[in-house]
This record gives sequence, structure tokens and C-alpha cells, in this order.
Amino acid sequence: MWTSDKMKAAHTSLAAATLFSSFASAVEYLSISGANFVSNSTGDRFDIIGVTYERNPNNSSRRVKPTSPRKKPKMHVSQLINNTDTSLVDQQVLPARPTLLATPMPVSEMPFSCSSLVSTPSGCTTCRPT
Amino acid sequence: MQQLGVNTIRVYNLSPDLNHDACVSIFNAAGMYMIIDVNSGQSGEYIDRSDPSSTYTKDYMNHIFAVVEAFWDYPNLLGFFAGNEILNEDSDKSAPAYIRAVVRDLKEYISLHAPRDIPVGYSAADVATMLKDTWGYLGCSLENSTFSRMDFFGLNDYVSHSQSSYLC
Repeated sequence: MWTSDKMKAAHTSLAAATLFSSFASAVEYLSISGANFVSNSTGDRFDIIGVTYERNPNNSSRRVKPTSPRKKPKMHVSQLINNTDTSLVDQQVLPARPTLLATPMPVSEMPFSCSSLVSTPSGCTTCRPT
Repeated sequence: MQQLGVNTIRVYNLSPDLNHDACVSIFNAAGMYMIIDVNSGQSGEYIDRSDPSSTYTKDYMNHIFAVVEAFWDYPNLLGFFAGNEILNEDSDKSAPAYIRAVVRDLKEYISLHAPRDIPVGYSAADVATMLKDTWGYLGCSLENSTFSRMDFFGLNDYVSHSQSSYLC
């Protein structure tokens, strides 16, 4: 999923896995550490192994009609945006949440090409709006 | 899928109104994680790449937060895709910023309310000329940014084998 090298590794793992029976059990939480999914308990890297399947377009699945009233999120958007500690900083450069303004806020021009990419000492790449 | 060594599935077009306990429990018992798309193809439940501002609405926010809530308790939830193939040759130039905005909204909502930290990523279209820039843009840290940097990046790599409708 991350890089071509890792994708090749995943394919290799897939091929190897077919040689053995799988005796999987219930899973534990995974989190992200650096560029990897890792086990919370052991710190071991988790490599995604999957297959892709696409239905015949002429036999596409239909959406199941909901059988119960729509559940409302526990916290409404208008409450979320009132958390000024976390919600307002990004709005300087990203679209404001819908409920903030009666009319959409103009979206700042973001350098999609990231021509100003800068590598930080920590190895992360940073770009700044032009 | 167990025999093949599959350990993760990706699911999209999900309704937050349904109870997914039975299905998710089966995959959990089989040792399989899930990556969930918060968007669907239904009206009001996705960001329109050609006109993102018109679809970044209050109802849209409520939909994606409802999907997050419907799945955040499952231990085999690996992460959420905030968007799928929003960027391609037809995308409006403002579309990338809206992806980061949705990532921000999801990660902030998770941080404030979810029982644990849950990664949020983006799934890119197989457009070779845009992949590097997409990766750079969504993965970079912005000054004063809080949550808008994606946690993981997926690629819909469409390669068809002959004499088969299967993709890999």
C-alpha cells in the first residue's frame, strides 16, 4: 500500500501464504508508527495482504435500505467547531467547515505541485502555501 | 480468503444506519482487519471532484461522522479512507484542499470522541502523472497544521489479467 517495494513484498507474502494453512484468530488494535502499521502490544510491523475483486458492472450491488432511523453523530458539527483549541488553525489554509459561514469560504490557493517541498530534519516533507 | 493469507479487507458504500456487528465479527474472528471508506456514491455522501465546495456540506459532515461512529468500536478497524479518487484529470483545482479538510475533520473528530486513535488515509486514482504530487501534498506537514496530514496512502492499481474480470 505504501511503496512499490512494499507492494512487491506484499505480493511475495501473498504467494508464500498460499503454501500454508491459516489459523487466524481475533485481532488486536493496530496503530501507526513512522511509516508502518504496527501491533500495539508487540510493536511488530503489520503488512497488509489483500486481494481485489470487482463485481460485474451489470450485476452491481444495490444499496440496502436502512431499517432503522438514522443515527445522529454524538457530537454535532456546530459543537465540534467550537473547540477552538484544535479546529481553527487549519482554516487559515483549508476550507472552513460548512457550518462556520453562511457562504463558502474561498479556498486558499494550495500548491498542489508542492514545488516548495522541504525535507525536515525528522525526515518529514513540508510544503508551504505560496 | 484465509487460505490466501488475506489479513485486510476494504469496504465502501456503507450505511451507518445498519448494524454491522455480525459481519464485522466474522472478519474479526478470521483475523482480518477492515479499512472503511467514509464516503459512498450516494448524493450528499461524497466530495464532488469537479465542484467540491458544493458537496462539502453539513449533511456530508454528519454522514462521515456517523460512519466513523458506526465502526470505531470494532477492534479490527484498521483505518478510514477520507476520500477515493477525488483527484484525477477532471478535478477542480480546489479539490486537493478539500481532501485535506476532510482528513482534518475526521482526525479531529476521532481525537475528540473515539475510544482510540484510528488512522485516516486517502485512496488515489491510478493516474501516474499525479501520484507523486498527491503523495507529497497529502503527506506533507503544513505550518500550524493540526490534523490535516494523512496517516496512510492507498493506490487503486488497476491491472486486468487477460481472460478474467479480476483485477490486481
